[in-house]
Amino acid sequence: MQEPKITQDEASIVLVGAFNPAIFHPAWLARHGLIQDPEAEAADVQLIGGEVAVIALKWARMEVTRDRFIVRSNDETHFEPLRDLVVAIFQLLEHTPVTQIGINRDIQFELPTLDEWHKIGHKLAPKDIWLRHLKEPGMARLSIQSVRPDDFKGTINVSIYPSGQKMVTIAVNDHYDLGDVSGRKASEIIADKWISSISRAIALAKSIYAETIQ
Amino acid sequence: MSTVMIRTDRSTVAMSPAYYVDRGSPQNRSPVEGETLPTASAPIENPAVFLAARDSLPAGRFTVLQSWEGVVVSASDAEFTAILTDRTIRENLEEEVVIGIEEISEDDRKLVKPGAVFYWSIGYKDAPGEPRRRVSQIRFRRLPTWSQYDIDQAARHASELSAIFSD
Repeated sequence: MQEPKITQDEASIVLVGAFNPAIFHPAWLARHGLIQDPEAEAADVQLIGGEVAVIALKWARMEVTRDRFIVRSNDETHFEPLRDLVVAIFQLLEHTPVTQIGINRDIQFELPTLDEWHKIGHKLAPKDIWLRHLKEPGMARLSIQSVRPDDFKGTINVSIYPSGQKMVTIAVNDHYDLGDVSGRKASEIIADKWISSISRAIALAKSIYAETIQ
Repeated sequence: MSTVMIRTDRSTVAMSPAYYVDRGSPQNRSPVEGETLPTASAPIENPAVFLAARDSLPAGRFTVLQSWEGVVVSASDAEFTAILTDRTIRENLEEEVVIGIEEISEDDRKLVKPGAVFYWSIGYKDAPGEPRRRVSQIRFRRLPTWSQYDIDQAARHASELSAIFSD
């Protein structure tokens, strides 16, 4: 089979806990050596009343609120730097309370034909039942949840949804319920689990893609 | 664990089954026990924070042809020697290479020291309205800078341990 055409590939790391958005600034990141000085100078920053910080770098976007830290990148060459950035930030903010972590990867595929695109929906959500009640039913989003393959509390969540004409996105959320841990512990978990997490996501997405268009 | 079903779209990042964040809507808050979140069509009172939409990430895509992780083993002013591990074909053997310092962005040059880790990617860069470019990109890993206080603390701790073990 031909290698699937990936049109978007985004990785993100989400932490839930208690954060101070006001300290998240490109100058702070550069001062600690976590991004390049020119990157800090070129960054687009929005600070909203000390409650939200949004930092747009050329290769990543960071959004921090009082209870949530999100950083994401759609540049595959910067997935490791994305991880390094988060690990480094929470080594510095080592006492930050963190309750949950999400390591996410969203992969968008372009199908060769509309027929193959429809085939994914038909295979994953057969229409037999729906056709008796609805006119032209279609799969808008399918979410599947599984237990974790390791000893952590949490789940693996997979969502599949059409994201444009002949496009389908497979989003894999590797979710950790941590209770209450320090920023340092959270950074160690991310450093330790990152590779397996994003590797599992791409392998899973490619397998689902391949098996559904067969 | 309860599962909250919120209509989401391409601008959604799943943080947990119960913590979907829809950046395009004001519903991006966490449910508390016993609370029913508004549905996508329900009127929202006191909207929570709006976060930027997904399309705020740079458009375009870098198609990786090959990528390596490198570790610097020695460095001079003009070049450095590194051991490369292939991240595209993991079965490939490690390789030793010499890379000119001019290949490294100026701000990363201070990081070129033995033990430093870097990521090297070769691929095609496609961006809207631009011709496809073949790009080679090297970026050094960045770790928190140690302050003098941190170094002093570590030295003090090392002295204390040394004293314990020499007794």
